[in-house]
Amino acid sequence: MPQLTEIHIQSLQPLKTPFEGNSRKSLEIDLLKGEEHNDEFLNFIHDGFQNEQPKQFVEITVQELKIHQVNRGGKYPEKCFLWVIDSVSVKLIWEKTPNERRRASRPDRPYVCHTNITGSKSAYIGGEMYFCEDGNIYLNFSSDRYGVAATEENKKMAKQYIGDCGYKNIIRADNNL
Amino acid sequence: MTMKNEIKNIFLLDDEFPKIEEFIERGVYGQAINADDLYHLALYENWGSLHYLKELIKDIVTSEPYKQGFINLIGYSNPELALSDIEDGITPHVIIYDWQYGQINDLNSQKWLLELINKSNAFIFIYSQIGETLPQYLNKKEFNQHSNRFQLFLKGSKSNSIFYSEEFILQFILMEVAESAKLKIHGLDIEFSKNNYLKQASDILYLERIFGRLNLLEEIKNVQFSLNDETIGKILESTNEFLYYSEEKKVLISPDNKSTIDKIQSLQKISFKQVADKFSIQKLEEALERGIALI
Repeated sequence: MPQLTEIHIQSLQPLKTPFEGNSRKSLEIDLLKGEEHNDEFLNFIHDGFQNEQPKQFVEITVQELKIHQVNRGGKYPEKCFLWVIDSVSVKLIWEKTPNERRRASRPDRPYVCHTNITGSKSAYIGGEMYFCEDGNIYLNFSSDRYGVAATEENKKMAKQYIGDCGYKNIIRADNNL
Repeated sequence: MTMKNEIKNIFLLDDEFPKIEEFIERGVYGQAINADDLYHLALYENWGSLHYLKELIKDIVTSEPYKQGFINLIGYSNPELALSDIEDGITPHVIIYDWQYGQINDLNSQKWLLELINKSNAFIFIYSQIGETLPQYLNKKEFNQHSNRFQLFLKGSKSNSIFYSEEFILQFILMEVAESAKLKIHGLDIEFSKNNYLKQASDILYLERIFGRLNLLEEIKNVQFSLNDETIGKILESTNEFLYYSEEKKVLISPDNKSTIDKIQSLQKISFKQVADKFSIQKLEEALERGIALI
């Protein structure tokens, strides 16, 4: 089941512009230089519909999982994949993919963000994904652009759709809090 | 003003320093250019489109740390001259590196940059008028492994953050030598002291992401252009915004993250200032950006 079907879309909709539903941020003001483009990263963005390993694949160890509490929604950028479900399918990119244009505005994070996947276009939902050596995929919805305001129905369907693409053993980190 | 008691060498590499007869006769441009000569050029010559660089030189030379002898500013109109000085034992702590020298030759620019990275431990600001095209050269393996050593800035850019390009470079240099200093933010003079909230001046970027650029500028005006423990506390107190916090789950949650809030019992509201006092500014920013922050 490669691409989104009407059934998926019903529970994922609406498509949201970056920061839509975020009460504190807006596309016009908060999208920083280096966060808006994706042309530079097209070779690194993986289309998840075929359930292959994403480019620059890296697994998190069980020890790292515990240290960074990734199974509870904690963050470990070194082994984090950002994901977004756009109007077609789920797209992934390794978070540590360098983004020098962003460095001037985010010196603490000179690597890609969710809008570098979409080119700042609309998407249904997004978050982070960790492939663990224990065979599980830990999924969260931590994205100020596409995830923070997602509803429970959106989140359930996002997990289901990613599973429909063939990814196995997906665990929602936000359910482990 | 508390100083770190160490003199820092700042290398400024650019081939477009104004060329004047007197300096040409003295051979100034074919060797390391001292700060007095750079300042003379900044005061009296026309820098054309490089007036931002001129202002940066003036800001450095008129700063208190410079006057007290903690900053040694040296100019080079060719990277080879700087590399030669490094080989002779002059150690740069910060390098402001112009990408273009005469005709654009990106291969040479990459080669020199890599040499500067490998032959020194300096932090390097890659400072260019063609910033948009540079990432293709810098997003490479040989540079990635040193990515914590350099930062790209577009000359005269005002769009990156609350700091203009040159303001960011200035604060970086001053914070290398002092615990407190007079910085510039959006052209305004700001007295900054390291404090319990912000360990370095660049952490002001956290405040920008929490409050938004325009709001933060307004708040800085309200605290008389001074950022220290007391005034940052006031800025944090000035908002009615809050997060949710669970002591039991050890988590902070953004009010926008409603579906997660609905799942957790015993959440209590916690003000921005309480979050910053109890945890950190970084945790506050993380919770607002990611929707949750574990603590």
